[in-house]
Amino acid sequence: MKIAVWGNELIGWTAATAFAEFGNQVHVNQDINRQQSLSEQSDANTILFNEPGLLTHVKAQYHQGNLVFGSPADALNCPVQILALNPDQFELAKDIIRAVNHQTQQQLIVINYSTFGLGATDQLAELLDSNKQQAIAYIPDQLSEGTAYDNFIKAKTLVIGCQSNEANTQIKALYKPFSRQLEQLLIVKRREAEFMKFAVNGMLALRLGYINELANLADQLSIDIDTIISGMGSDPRIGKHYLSPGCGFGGAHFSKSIQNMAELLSTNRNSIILNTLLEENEKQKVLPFRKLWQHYKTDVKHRKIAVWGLSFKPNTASIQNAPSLQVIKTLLAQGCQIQAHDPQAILNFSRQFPVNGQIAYYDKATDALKDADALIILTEWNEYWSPDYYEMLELMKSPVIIDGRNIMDKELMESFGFIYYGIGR
Amino acid sequence: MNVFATEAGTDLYEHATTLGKAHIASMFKQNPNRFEDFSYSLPGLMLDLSKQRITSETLNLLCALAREKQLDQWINDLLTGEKINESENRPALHTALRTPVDQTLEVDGVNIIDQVHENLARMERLVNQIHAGQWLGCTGDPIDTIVNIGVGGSDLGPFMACKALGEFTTTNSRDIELHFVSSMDGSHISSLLDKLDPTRTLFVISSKSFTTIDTLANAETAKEWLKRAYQYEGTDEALILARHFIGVSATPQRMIDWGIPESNHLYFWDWTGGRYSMWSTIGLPIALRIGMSGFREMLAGAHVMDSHFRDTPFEHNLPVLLALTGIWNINFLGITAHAILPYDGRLSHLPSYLEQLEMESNGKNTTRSHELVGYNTCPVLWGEIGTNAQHAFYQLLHQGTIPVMCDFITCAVRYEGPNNIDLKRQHQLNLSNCLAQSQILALGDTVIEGADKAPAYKRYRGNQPCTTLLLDKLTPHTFGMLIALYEHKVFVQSVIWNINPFDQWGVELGKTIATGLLPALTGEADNPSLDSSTRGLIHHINTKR
Repeated sequence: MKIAVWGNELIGWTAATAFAEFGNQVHVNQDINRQQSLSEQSDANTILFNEPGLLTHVKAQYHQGNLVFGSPADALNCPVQILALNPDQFELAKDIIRAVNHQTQQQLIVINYSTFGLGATDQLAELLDSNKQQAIAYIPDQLSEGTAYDNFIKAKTLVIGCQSNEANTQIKALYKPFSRQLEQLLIVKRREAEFMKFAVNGMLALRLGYINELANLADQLSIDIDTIISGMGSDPRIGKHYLSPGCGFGGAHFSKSIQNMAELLSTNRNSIILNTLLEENEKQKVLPFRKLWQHYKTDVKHRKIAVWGLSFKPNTASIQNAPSLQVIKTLLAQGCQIQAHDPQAILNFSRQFPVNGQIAYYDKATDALKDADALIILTEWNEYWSPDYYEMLELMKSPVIIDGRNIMDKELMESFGFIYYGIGR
Repeated sequence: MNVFATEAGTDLYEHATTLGKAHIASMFKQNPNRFEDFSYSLPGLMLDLSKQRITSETLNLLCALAREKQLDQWINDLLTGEKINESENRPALHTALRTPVDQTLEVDGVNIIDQVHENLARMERLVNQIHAGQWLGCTGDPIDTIVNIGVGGSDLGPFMACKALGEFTTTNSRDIELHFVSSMDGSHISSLLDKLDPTRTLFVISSKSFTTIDTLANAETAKEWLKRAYQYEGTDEALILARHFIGVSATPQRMIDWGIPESNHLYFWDWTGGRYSMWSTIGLPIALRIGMSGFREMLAGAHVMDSHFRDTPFEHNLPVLLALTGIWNINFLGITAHAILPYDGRLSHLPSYLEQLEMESNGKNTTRSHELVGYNTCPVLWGEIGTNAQHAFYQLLHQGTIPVMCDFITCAVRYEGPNNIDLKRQHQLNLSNCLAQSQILALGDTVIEGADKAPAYKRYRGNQPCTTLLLDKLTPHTFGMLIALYEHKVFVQSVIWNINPFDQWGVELGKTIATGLLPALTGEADNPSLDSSTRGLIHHINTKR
């Protein structure tokens, strides 16, 4: 099958690669007026750079000729069109549909992965020619940044938002190679599928927001949140997922989706629940700094602060909406000296915060600790879980650890002589 | 000596005996070009005096009076820093606060324009820090709520300006919550503190002397509130003061004594009168509301008016003409009440601001040579948003027994943009009311046919002199012009009346006596020498406790 993928979202690259691996010829394009190449300095490279696993697959399929960076005209002729555009590119989506409609006489299936908002896919459907065999589906992507490729090919659930039986049959056929581990297939209306995507993310965010609130309260009341979480998680009505407190959630898609849902709720219902959650999440991101500020009784100017973890979560180089952005901005504004480490995100981060007299980056985590007045941990990369405590004590000027991800054991750290601050402990 | 016993004064008295009986309506009939003859424009602002009971001869005589009173010399003395506030032996240099940085003005051998701009830069750093969310409280939370504690000049000007210019927020200033606390009895602060988050609140303590009891009482309450909030963390008081208080004063040592560290000081000078101080660092809340660029726009607007005041012949000089028509009304037509009627909800606090500016400046009965004046000085001023006042005291303006002069203040354009059709219509309605009211007050029921046949209780006698101040739009720039216009008007009138507008000795005795009464009220000591009324009231209060 010939498939065209439009856009530069993670889901686009992931789906393009996965479909290419299973006998399809996939044309990748960003714009109807411009041809794209893999090597060009585009955002695509940032997306792929942030997903090293995916990049390997993309390269392989490109070399085998299954992934094509051809002309937009060729792409418009494909009978399967995939939209994986940025939420701001709704107008481009309409242009693509119109152009496809103009060019093709054959049967057409459009799969929209883009999160334009509730009802957007229905609006695109209105642009299709009802006299031809044309249909559009919305499929909410369930990718996690860092593990996108695996999430796609080993999907456990698939939701197809489409009212056409013929189209659904074809989409299921396309997804067949990735359905071996499928536990649930849901066929719903387009609007329902769009709503579902927002609803799921909103729910997860509410859990995170709530557990962070509880952790902050526990902090004040000298209660260990870990004990509380164990109790809560053992209740089958609650379960254990998304109950880890920390210094706020980030990422491009998760945050954007919650913003969309927050806007929907606020416009239609005057509800502030998700807006409040987003506001509190922004505050939570700076919590590690506040702990530092309080430890040093506001006297932080000129202090050397080591920061471990800049990406918004482990296994990605993405720093979009990451707590590190807020924390480093605040540390800089308060006149601190920053010594930062991250296994993958230094390049991205140093574009926004270039090396200068106040901030330096280190390839080795322990190198960032030299003479530090405190260490702040912002991302739970594997290598931070069990560092050499003796070396740390030797390197640091003051053994103050602010663990924004609760990856260390408080009692153990204190027994080593560290002054340890976690979230809710 | 009666200051009006001058050549022009004598002519004016004589002129008033004839013109004083004339009706404004007949003046319009006699001269259909009154608007062209008696309206005056600067870019952004127009002053219409055509509904005043004046003719060209009136203005000529008034300008002659101003010349006889050497107004030009006084204006020069004001602007060049002569010590014209004689009772306090200092100049009154609010105009220096808005003088551009490339100019100089030496006072006692120091270029004060440099000092002014250094302080503005200091304020700018602070404002930017707060707007960037980088002024942090003791917990490290960014400050997003500012409470200005001040009274009189440290409250009315910033309060009024923040209300007037509230829509000129910047992206960074939009999320800052601003509150003003002034009342000595604690009613402002007690209802406010319950709603605030202590970790995100910063108090600005504004007091020129830093001894004002009203302000210090509120500041003390704020400090105790913060100490209670931080009790749990055991945060010490010095840290609370360093992170949650800014002091604005002309007396740094007293700020230090109260506990505010030097890093949190903003300064102004003893040559800035309290009611003329919103252009100084006292204007910090304004800058926090509209950003420093907006604040500088406001200063620039005021400077335009200063230059106009200095350079323009009296016959075309807006503050001079506004002041002289007031002199005509007060001293020659015997009008002693003055209503301030803004037809713009954003200017709701302008009346109370002008009450202080005019009545505290010119509400005096002693000349500069310490003699009692033999004529009326400042009238009673009061006011309200025009459309609201129409449902309150306009009845008295139209059919009461006392003559009142009225200032109508509004703007021509509001609610721009395609999505504001409904609000634009409301503004048109507002403008039509503004114009209708000044028309009836000045011209009476002659504006409609056959009114003379109506019963007496339905008649409108008119002949209340009205001024209209029309801004093109209300912006920081035109707002600065408007306030400077009134400041200079007040100064011109003080020159004609030969009084010092920059002191306020009339407010001192009350403070002393109040302090003296406290022991009797708290029951610590009796004061048998008190008058029976005060004694009786104290006794009654004490029996209720």
